[in-house]
Amino acid sequence: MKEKDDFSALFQSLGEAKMPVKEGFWEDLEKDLSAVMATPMEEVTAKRAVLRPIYRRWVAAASVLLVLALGSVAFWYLNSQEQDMQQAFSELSAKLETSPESNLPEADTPIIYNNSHQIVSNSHSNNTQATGHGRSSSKIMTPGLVAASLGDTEAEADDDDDEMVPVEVTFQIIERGYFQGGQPNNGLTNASNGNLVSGESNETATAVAVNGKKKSGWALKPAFGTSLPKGEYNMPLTAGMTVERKLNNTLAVEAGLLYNYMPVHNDENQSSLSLPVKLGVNLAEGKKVDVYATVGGVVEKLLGKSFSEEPVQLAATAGLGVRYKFTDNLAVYAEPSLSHYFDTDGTTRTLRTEQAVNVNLLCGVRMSY
Amino acid sequence: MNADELIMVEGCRKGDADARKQLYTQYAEQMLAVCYRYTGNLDDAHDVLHDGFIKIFTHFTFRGDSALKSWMYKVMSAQAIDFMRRKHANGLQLMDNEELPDLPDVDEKAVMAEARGIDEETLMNMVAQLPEGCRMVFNLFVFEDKSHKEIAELLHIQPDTSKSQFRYAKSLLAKKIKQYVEHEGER
Repeated sequence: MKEKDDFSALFQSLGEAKMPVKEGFWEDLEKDLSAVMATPMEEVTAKRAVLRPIYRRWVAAASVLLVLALGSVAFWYLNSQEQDMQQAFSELSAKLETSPESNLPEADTPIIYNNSHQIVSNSHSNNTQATGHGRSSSKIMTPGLVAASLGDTEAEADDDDDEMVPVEVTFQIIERGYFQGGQPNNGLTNASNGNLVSGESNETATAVAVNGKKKSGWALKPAFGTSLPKGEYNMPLTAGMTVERKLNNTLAVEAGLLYNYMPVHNDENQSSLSLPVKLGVNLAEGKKVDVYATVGGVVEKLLGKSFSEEPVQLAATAGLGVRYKFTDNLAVYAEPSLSHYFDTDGTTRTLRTEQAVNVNLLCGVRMSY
Repeated sequence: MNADELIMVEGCRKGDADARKQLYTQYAEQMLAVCYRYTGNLDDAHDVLHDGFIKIFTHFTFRGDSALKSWMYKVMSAQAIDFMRRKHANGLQLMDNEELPDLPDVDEKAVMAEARGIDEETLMNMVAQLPEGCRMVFNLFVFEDKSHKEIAELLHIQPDTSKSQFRYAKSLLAKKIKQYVEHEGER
């Protein structure tokens, strides 16, 4: 609690005091103001000031809400899709259990489940062991060769071992591995001549090939980066950590904590903490390289100033990202982005206030689990 | 805020030269006094006033949440603090608690009685002549209504240091008032 005393009150009257300003001060100020306003930095500042404060707040709030809404929709969409798939697999399992065992093959023929979401029957090998990725020892069918209907367990028989039997899948099978290595009997386990059977009816049921173990969808992204400088505000350095959660094959949400060191020429250096929340959208996925887009919001707090002096600053950001995958779990990435920082009530000038729209670059390592 | 002030604010926001001149005319003298209280030097005060107005005109972020004068006050005091920090790259010249000389406790009632006849300009000079560190603390505590905790955060010092600096400022001012009254009495 702030102590009050009469002594302080005595001097408080000086708060209203006035002092005569020296001659010619306004003229000098006007001249300097014209010079300052001629610089692009100040033009930008002046243009931003035209936007009414109330609108700025609404725009900031709307940006954050938009990100949250997109994230929620994506999450809801993923959940419903997973439920549908679980239901489809339950139905499939029930159907397969009722299929005739007379169609079982004598030779074991593993079904290969590969990255391209194809089910392939391979009669070449007598090996009944599941193959981790299936590609190494098995013939991989192209999408055009895949056929057959799961609804029809009496698929066409084919006597030729070298021919592949078409299987048509009426729902999408995702890579995240509903066929767990440890659960070979719960679903599709073996097939011969195009017949799909339940694992329980076949003692060679271990032949399910699974596309790697199921991933949690979480990824950790240590990041470092920078932004463009402006005038006396040098290039800032950013370092931190974000966590990414994959929602499905296309969408991911990401949040984290970043520390920004913002050096200022001939002035005290500044630093801030920012909390980005982003939605990532996969644009192209290759064997080694992925390209994705991000859109989101940032909440940033200038350090060394209280909340009353410098409230948090909001920003909207959008960018592109390129990811190079060393392995399934380890990749490096670079994310150039464009951000717009909204004005605050604060009076401290920073790179974020002087260069409201800025280009940023974040690089780092992505470790998925 | 009255209608004239609203028009002036809108004009400043749009960069209108007349509105800027009007704002300057209305507040320059008051703001110079604020700058002087912080810097303790008239030349420095003019420099701060200059930079403060440039900042106000080029970055007019006033939103009407408070009175215009309060906002300008805030900008100028922030500008003055920044100026003092820049002036001393290694930090404000604050004496450690141990270095502060012992001064007798202030008899506030007696000082108040003696100070009643002292004019504003003299009191202002007394504040301006305080050592830098305790002048900053005194200004922030008395005029900006900051707590010692807030002052400590602002000046990157300990709250106890802020308290001791404030006590020291009070003792010095009491001494100055006493000397002034005695001197005036002799005349």
